[in-house]
Amino acid sequence: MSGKGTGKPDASGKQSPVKKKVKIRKDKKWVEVDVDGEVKKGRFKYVKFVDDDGLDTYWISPE
Amino acid sequence: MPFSTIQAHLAYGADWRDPVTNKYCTSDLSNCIVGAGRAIVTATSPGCESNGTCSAVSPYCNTEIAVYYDGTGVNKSGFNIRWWYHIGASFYKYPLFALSLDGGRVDTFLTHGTPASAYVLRLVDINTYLPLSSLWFPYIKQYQYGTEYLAVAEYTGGFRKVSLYHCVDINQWIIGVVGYLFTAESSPSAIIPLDYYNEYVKYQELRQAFAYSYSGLDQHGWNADDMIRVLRELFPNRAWAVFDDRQNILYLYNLSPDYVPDWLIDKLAPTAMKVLKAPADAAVAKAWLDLLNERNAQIPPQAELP
Repeated sequence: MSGKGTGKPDASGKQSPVKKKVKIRKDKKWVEVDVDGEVKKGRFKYVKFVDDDGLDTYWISPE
Repeated sequence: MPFSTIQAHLAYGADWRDPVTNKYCTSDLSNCIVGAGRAIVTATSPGCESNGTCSAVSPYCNTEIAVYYDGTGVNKSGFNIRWWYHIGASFYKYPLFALSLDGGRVDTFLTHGTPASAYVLRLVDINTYLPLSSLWFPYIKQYQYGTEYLAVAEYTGGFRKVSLYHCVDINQWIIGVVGYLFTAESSPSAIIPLDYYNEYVKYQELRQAFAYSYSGLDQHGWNADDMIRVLRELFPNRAWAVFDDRQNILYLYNLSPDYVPDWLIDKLAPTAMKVLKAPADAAVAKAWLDLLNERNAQIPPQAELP
């Protein structure tokens, strides 16, 4: 999962915003991801993050 | 393995709600008086093909007119088909339309010499259901230009291919409607509304690659990666989606979740959406959404304007 948004200063000295961490159920395991946002579609809610394959991904929210 | 229900009506010169009476071809086949769709004439010459109202096919039995479902390339089966014809044309002993399963000859339930011919020879009353033949003739009606009849038949079992055959003599015409309903293995699905006539070559290529449902909304195949690869090749500038129901992931191409309608999400219930390519042109994504909504029979009622 993307490790962006740690809240630590980057190379330019600016502090990146702290991202919300959410645990999702993926490949039969709980995985913690840093989410970039949430989207409501139909009767489901999805959290957005960049997955290991580099694709913008919207995963069903456990909440 | 999930399944989809596939239902379609095919109009050959008459719509399903349109009586076949007064729909006919002139005796010299120079003109066809038809309603929706093209009628079919059996002729050694094109006949009224020239005025754009009919398609000519060679006469006599066992000519394949159309393939409605073909899962042979991907080993996908259909099951339990029910079909019906509402046909007007001259008719005696032989079926004008018949579905062929798995490339067999004309449906034996409808062929002369089987229990079905008992209807035509008037050995049993129409409106009588023959369980062993799985066939039912609600009516056979003579009219000015031939005979109108409605037949309903069903087959309980599996198959890989469904074709429409005709079985008529020379210089006859086929005007009517074929409807069918069956279940087929369905995953995964490409979600890309296509125009059958204007995109025929690509349409056929998808159909051969992945098997096919007539809805025009989804083409079925085995492997989401293969499906994505072919769609990238065929439609690099269009918007489309692929639903991989093994992983329960909806892949979006030239789309973002903003353009995916809620009814589709509710229907597929994907665990995740992955954006293969963000929309380069909002108009392309919007066109996909509009076509999808247009073809979706389950669009919820729109809110009334204030």
